[in-house]
Amino acid sequence: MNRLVLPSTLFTALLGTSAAQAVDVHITSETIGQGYELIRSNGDVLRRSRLHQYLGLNLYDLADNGENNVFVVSQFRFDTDFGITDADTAAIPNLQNNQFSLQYLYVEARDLGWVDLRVGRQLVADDADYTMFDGALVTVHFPVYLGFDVLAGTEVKNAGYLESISTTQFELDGDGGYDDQTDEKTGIVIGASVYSDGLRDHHAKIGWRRIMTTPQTSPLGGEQSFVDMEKLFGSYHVRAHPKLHLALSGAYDLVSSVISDGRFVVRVPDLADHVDLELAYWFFTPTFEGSSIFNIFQTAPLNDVDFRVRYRVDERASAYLGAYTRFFRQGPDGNDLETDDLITDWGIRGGGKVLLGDTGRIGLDAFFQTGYGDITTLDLYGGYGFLDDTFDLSGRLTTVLFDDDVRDLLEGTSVGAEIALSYRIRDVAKFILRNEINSNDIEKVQYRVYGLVDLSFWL
Amino acid sequence: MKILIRALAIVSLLALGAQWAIAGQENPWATPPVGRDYLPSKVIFPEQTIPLRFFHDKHLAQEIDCATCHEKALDSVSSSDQLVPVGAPGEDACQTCHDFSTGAQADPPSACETCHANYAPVWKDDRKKDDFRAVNNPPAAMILPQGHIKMNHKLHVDKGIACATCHGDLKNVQVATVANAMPVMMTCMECHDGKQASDNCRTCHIADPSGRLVQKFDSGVLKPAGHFRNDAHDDAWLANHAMTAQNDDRYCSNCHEQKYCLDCHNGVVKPFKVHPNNFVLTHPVHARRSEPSCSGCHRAQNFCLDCHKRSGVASATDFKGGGEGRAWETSKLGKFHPDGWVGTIQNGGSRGPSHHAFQAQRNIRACAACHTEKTCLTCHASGTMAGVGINPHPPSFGSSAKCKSLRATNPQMCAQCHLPVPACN
Repeated sequence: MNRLVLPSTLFTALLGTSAAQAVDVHITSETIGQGYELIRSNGDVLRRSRLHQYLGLNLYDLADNGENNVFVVSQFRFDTDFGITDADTAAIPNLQNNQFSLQYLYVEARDLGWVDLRVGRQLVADDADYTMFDGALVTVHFPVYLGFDVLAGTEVKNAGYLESISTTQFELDGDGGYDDQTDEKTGIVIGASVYSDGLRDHHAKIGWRRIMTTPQTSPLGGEQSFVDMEKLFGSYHVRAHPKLHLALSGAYDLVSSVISDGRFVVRVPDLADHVDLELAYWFFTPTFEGSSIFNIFQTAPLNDVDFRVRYRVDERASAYLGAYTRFFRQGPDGNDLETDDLITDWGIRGGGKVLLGDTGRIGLDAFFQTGYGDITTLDLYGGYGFLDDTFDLSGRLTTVLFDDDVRDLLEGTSVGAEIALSYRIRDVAKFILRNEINSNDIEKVQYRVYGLVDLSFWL
Repeated sequence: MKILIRALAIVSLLALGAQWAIAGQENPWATPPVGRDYLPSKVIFPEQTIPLRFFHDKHLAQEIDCATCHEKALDSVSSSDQLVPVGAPGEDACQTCHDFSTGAQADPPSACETCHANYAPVWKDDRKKDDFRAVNNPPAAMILPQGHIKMNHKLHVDKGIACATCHGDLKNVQVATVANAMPVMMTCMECHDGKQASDNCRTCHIADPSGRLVQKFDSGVLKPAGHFRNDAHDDAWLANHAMTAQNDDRYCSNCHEQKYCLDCHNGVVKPFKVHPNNFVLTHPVHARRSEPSCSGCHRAQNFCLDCHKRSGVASATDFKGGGEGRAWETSKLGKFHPDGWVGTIQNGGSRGPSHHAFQAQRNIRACAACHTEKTCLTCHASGTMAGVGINPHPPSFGSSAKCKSLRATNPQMCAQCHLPVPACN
């Protein structure tokens, strides 16, 4: 790996030095093409031919000290859909083709004394939500097993244009789509969190985040910043014993005054050296962007309980069996009519996988759910690498039996097969060609072709 | 169900078969690990071959210091250093006490087979038998692959850290192996907590120039085993990773760049492991269940709507560019919503699974996948809007904390029906 001498005004300014800096340059390119058919509700075939081009430009070790504590990373994307027709764009204003987007671009500096700094477009994912923003994230590591994060910036918006491949997928539901001009205004993101830092068996975090508009004319009079999202959140993981791990997390939506998310997981690993047990509970209440009237409806929480036991024969073979159930209690409506039926949904799952030789693997996943319609999935998959694992041939055979509870005619059996061949040149290039064929008793045979070229170069 | 049981049986048999197939020979003098919660990673410490009979217990009982045999450990700064007496040069260390010319009856016993168990040397004709290297059949070699880890023994020795702190007490161990003598990461983390010593992963693990850990080695793929942060990258990881990542995404970034998350979470390409074949056809059944995990990659109003609009599922009249009509009514699957979907309860409508109020309360996210709020306002709006005025609020909404917080934080919502915006009770 060569080191590239890159004289850069930006980097030298950043580092406060006048000398040219030697940096490690990493360039990645990923080209994804896919073509497939969808059947419109009136029976017409909707053809999709999509091309996605990613380009990653990354500069590491800008401080040139071998510690790599200063770096710049970026990811760009270009999307086009050859299947978009004039009729589509006429019917859906703002539906665009040939879109260029910036996924992320930030400068990060770590270990500047007690401080880490990240500036630019970035994604944070925590118990509040996924938030993509342009701004700064500052982390302070105190010498007392405590860290502190503060972030501020503007929300990355682009999702109100009915683009399933828009820059961010993380804008809150309830934005009203492209009809809602109010929600297209710039959102300001601020937040902070405190977390434990360096405790081997514990990790705790408590945080707060708000997304709000700039001051606007308020229907209450005067000007007001409207809050689109505001949450208090926290999580805690403890390794109480080598064979007992507990994890807890939750979020409280301050806009709707509801607990929007709560999870609790117990994991017992390596019981009798071969068995893992997992029990998880998930409480979930959907919430929406603050301006959405979806917030005023009564939305009842879901309560999921999930159990899984895994038997590890050895490092190369394992099998699992699990079950889940979901409880939902229908509450009274606006007319105060009591309908407090406890409704349940449940399912069982099982499967396993085995590694064969150095490069082979085969596995099966089976899942049956019932409650809001039945669905049974049998998924048999496997693969084998040959010629020193340069080529890999993999396949999947999936059978789905489905029966929607509400829509009477939506039932049937779907059988799909997928075969993929990949070719890898060390860690520099990877090529994948995948073909999927589906058949079911509602629609005709469908095809999906998928191709990927993945390149990675260090300069 | 029968298919499921058969499949599980096949997988279990395959798994058992694989276990038998890989069962290998083991050194009978390798003391089994005792009191360890788990064993070191075979990716970090590749499989070793130690065809020796050796007794750490007897050496330690003689109060022989570790450095007597492992002298190089005192100055070693790299894991590539060979710290175990290996081969002919290594045997010089043994000869300090074991005079190989004295044979098995000496004290200490010093024959070849004292350590090279079951080894019978075949001497070269022109050599004396006390020239212990003059054999035609050298004993089986020790193979000790380099560990895929950074290790500076000198630094630890200089800090006064005893060997047993990391390698355990070997007073009851005969042949030391990875399983009974090499430290696990949990041991390292007792000091490497970011305060006493660095807890940066790169301090010990090999990293690429981006600072992320190298994960692929000849000995396998390095991935978390679940000892920290509930991070087991096993068959349930797809479902479990959210809690770990949300608790601390920095933890993930030690191995993964942000692109890694976005590759799945931006919803551009269907991950086949998540959405098997023909998922487009069957996804309504999943969506109907209101799976909470869907929103990890798909937001209804910026993912689902596009497809639903283009495929004629969503109500075109909800959108500026409408005019196509309710295309789904011509679908061979019939109307999307069942009869009685919008009937009012006062007019005899049933508050059951076939009524929109029931489904909206249970799964309002599915509504948002096809509808904007305008659909709701058609009937539920009042005041300045041209709705029918059916009250959408839950009982006692006016006096609830929800009313107060919604009104205070974003009264735009209230103003869609109420102008001026009334106060909560």
